[in-house]
Amino acid sequence: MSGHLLDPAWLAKLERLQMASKRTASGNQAGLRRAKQLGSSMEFAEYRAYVPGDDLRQLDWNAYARSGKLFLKKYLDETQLTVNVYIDCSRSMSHGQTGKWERSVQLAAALGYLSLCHLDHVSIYAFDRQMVAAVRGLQGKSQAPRLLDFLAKLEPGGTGDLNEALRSPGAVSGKGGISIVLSDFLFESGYESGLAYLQAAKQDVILVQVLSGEEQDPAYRGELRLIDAETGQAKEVSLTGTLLEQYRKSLQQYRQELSAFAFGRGMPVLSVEAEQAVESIVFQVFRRAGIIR
Amino acid sequence: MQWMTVGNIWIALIIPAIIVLYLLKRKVEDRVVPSTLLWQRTLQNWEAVRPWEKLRRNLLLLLQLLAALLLVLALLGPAISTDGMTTDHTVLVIQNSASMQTSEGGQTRLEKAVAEASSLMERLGAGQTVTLMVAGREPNVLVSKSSDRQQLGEAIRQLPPASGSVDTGAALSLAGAIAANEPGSSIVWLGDGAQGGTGELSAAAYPGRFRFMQMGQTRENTAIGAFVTQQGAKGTNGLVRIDNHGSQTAKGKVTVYDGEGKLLDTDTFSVEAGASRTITWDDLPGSPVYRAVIEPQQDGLATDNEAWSVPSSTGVGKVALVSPGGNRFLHQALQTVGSLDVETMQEMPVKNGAARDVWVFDGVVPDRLPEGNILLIAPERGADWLPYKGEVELDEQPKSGSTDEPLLRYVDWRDVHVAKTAVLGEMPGMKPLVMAGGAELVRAGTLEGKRVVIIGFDLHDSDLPLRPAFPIFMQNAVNWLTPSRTASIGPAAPGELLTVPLTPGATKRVLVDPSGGHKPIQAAGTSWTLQAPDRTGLYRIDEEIDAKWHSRYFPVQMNESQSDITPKTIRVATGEMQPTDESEGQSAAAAGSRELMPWLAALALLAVFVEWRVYQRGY
Repeated sequence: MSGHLLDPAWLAKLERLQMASKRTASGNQAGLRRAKQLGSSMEFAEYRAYVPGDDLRQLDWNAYARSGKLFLKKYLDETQLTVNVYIDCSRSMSHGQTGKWERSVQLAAALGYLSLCHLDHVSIYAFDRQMVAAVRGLQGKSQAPRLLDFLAKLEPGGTGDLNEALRSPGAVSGKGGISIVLSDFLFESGYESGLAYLQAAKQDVILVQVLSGEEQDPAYRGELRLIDAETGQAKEVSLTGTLLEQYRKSLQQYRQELSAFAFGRGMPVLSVEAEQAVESIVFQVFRRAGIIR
Repeated sequence: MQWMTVGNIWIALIIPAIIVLYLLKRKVEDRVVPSTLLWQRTLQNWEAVRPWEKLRRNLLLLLQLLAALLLVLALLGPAISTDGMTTDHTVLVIQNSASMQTSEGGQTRLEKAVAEASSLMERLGAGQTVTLMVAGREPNVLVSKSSDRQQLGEAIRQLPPASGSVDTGAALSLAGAIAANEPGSSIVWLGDGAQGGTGELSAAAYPGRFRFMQMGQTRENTAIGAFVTQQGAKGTNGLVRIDNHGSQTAKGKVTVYDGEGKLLDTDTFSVEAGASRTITWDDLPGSPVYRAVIEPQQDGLATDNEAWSVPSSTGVGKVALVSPGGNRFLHQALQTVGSLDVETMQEMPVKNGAARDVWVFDGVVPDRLPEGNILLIAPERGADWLPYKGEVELDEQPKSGSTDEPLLRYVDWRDVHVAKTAVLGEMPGMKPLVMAGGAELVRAGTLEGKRVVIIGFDLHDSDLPLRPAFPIFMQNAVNWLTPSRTASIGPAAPGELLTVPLTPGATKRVLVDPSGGHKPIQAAGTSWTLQAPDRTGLYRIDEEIDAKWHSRYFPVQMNESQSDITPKTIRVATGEMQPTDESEGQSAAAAGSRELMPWLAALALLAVFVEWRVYQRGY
C-alpha cells in the first residue's frame, strides 16, 4: 500500500465511513446497505477485523469461537454502489507550491478506499482534455493497492477541458452511481455541458473544487506578467491592493456561478483548500456536506 | 518672490530623468500562475468600472514628479518678502525729505514710515541686527548694527520731519557700502521714492537684497512755485506762480499778507492738472516782507502752500573814500555807481568805532583793517596785513584771468595801459584777477572775513579811468563789496549753504527763527556762512548798529522740485546672493519663514512619504 498517499493510521477510520447516496436506497443493489428485498445472495466476500463502532450484527461469532478474535463477515450479495472519481489532470492542478494535485490525489484515494471498503464499484478517471487514464470496476478492499498504485502513477500535464473530456468515449460508465469530480474548475471553455452530460448518465454528481490558498489570496505584488500554466497566455498586471480586491471579488463571483449552476442541477459543491489536511477535509468537510457518513 | 540660488536650476533635470526611469522601469516580472482565467475576468471587470485606470496606475509617477519638483524648487531657494527682517543684518533706510511730509489718511508719509519701521523693530528676531539710516539731504547713520530694539525704536521715533531734498544716490551707495561690509545683509528702504524731478534712480549693483517699501500713494499736490516781489513806481509788484503737480484741476484761494500778517489781497485760482498759473499784483503797500498763502481744495503737502518774499533792498551803502591826494576819477565813479553815500576824507579817522560798508583807500595803507569791506588802490607801503615789496615798471598789456569772476564781468582790459604797479607778496584768501606780464594788477578775496579788492597801480599812472572798462569795473567792485545793499539774502532751501552779508560795524547780531527763538551770531567780518535750517519759514537777522536795531529777512522754503510728491519705486539691481560658506547658508535658513526652502523640502519629504505609503498599500 502506498503509504505516502494515505496515512495508514487513519485508513481504519476511513473504513468505517461510506458514501452516502440516495441512489442506493432505490436501486436494486444494496451491498452493505440494507436492501428492500431480501438478500438474493449471501455470497461471502471477505473477513475483516472488528473495529469498535462496527455493526455487531455482522460479527462472525463462529470465527470468534474459533480464534477468539472478532471478525466481521462481509457478504458480496448485497447491492453495490458505483462510485466514479474524476480527477482533473491538467497542468493547472499541478502548479504551485502547495499542491492542489497532491491533495486531489489524496482525496481521490481516500474516497476510493472507503468505497472499496464498502464493496462499492470504484472507478477512477484521470482527465485533462480527454481521458488520460482510468481504472474501472474495482471492488473490495483487496483492490485498494491497485487503486493507490494507479493514483500514484498519475502525472498531471496538458490543457484541461472538462466538457470535452467527459464527452470522450468511455468517460462515463453506463451504470448509475455517484460521480465525484475533483478539479479547480478553472476551465476556459466552462464546465456546464460536461457536468450536465455526466448527470444525464444517471450519476449523482458531486463537485469538489480544490483551490490553493495562493489562488484565493495571491501574495505577490508589483508589475507582473502572469503566465497561464496551461495555455501559456500572458496577462500583464500592475498588482495593487485594489486590483487584488477586485480579484477576490472575481473569485467569489466565479464560485457563486459554479454553486448556482450546481444548485440548479442538484449537485453538491464543496470548496476545498489545498493547504487543508486531507483528514480534516474528509472527516469534516465531506461529512458535514453529507457526502459520506 | 526671489530665487536665491538660480544656479541650481540644472537639478530640474531630475524630472525628465524620473520620466525616463519610468519608461525604462516598466519591466515586468514573469510569474506562472495555475490559471489566468480569474485574472482575465478580474481585468475585464476592472477595466469596465475604472475608466481612469491609467491615471491611477501612474499615481506613483505623479507623486515622484511632485517630490522632485518640490526638491528642485527648494534647491532654487525661493524667498518671499516677508514683513519682518529677512536677513541677519538689515540696513534700514528711512527717507526723510519734504515729500515725506505729505499727509495721507491722517498721517504723514514719514509718520507711516516711522510706524512701519517701529513695527519692524518689534518683530526683530533674535540675533538680527539693524543699521538705521536716514536718507535726507545727505545720508546719515543713526544707529549702527544694533540689536537693541529699544534703542532702535527710540531713534526711529525721534526722527524729526525735514523739508529738504533727498540724495537717493548717496544714501543708496552708503547703504550699499554698509551692506557690502556685512555678508548676508539686505537693504530695506522706507520712503516714497519721490525724487522731485531728478528722475528714477539708475540701477546700481548691490551685494545683498534690496526691498523698497512704498509709503506714498497720492500725487495730488498744489504748491507755490515762486513768489517774488519788487519795488515798483507806485508800490510793490508781486507775482505768485501756482503749480499743480496733481492729476486733477486744482481750485482754491490765494492770499497775500504783509510782514505784520495784515491781509493785503486775496484771489481765487484754478489750475489744470500738471500746469502752472501766475497771479500778479501791481500795487501792494510797502512792507519789508510779504507772505503768500494758498488754500487749495486738494493738497498732499502743506509745507509748500506758504511762501515769503523780501523785496529788493533799497538801502544806501556808506562808502568812505580816503584819498590824501584827492582822486577826481574815483570820486566821480563812486558817485555814479549805484546808490552810495560817499564820504571823502583826507586820512583815516582816529576813532575806531566808525564803520562803513566800503572803505576806499587811494594811495593810503591803513595800519589795521577797519570795519567794512576794502578797496585799496595804489598801496605805497606795507602793513601787518599787506606784504608790500616795492614797485615794478610794466611794458606789457594787462590780461584778465578768469572771465567767470563777477568783478571782471564785461570789463575789457585790452586797451588799458599801466605804467607801473606795486608788487605784493603772498596773501592767503586773495587771488589775482588781472595780470600784466609777471605782475599782478588786481587781486581780490577775503581777508579777516572782509571782502578786499586791491588795485596795485595808481589810477594816474594808467589810462584806465579813460576807458569804458573803468565804470564797469567800479560798478562790479562796489556791487561785490556791498552785497547787503544790493541783494537780499535768500531765499534758501533747507540745508543749503547760505552766505549772509553782514553789515559792518554792527555790535550785536541775532538770528531770529520763525517761532521767535533768538540765536546770537558769532561772526567777524562782512559775511557769514550759514547752513539753512531744516525748518521752513521766515528767518530774520537783527543787527544792532549805533544802538539801533536793523532787521533783514530771509525765507527758508522748500525746494520747488520737492513739491512733486508723486510716489515712485526705487529699483536696484541686486547682485546675486552667493553664500560664501556653509554657515552662512545655514544661518539664512535658520532665520525662519523668509526663505521657503525648508518648507519646500518638508513638502518634498512628505510627498516621498506619501509615495512610499501608496506603494506599500498598493493604491
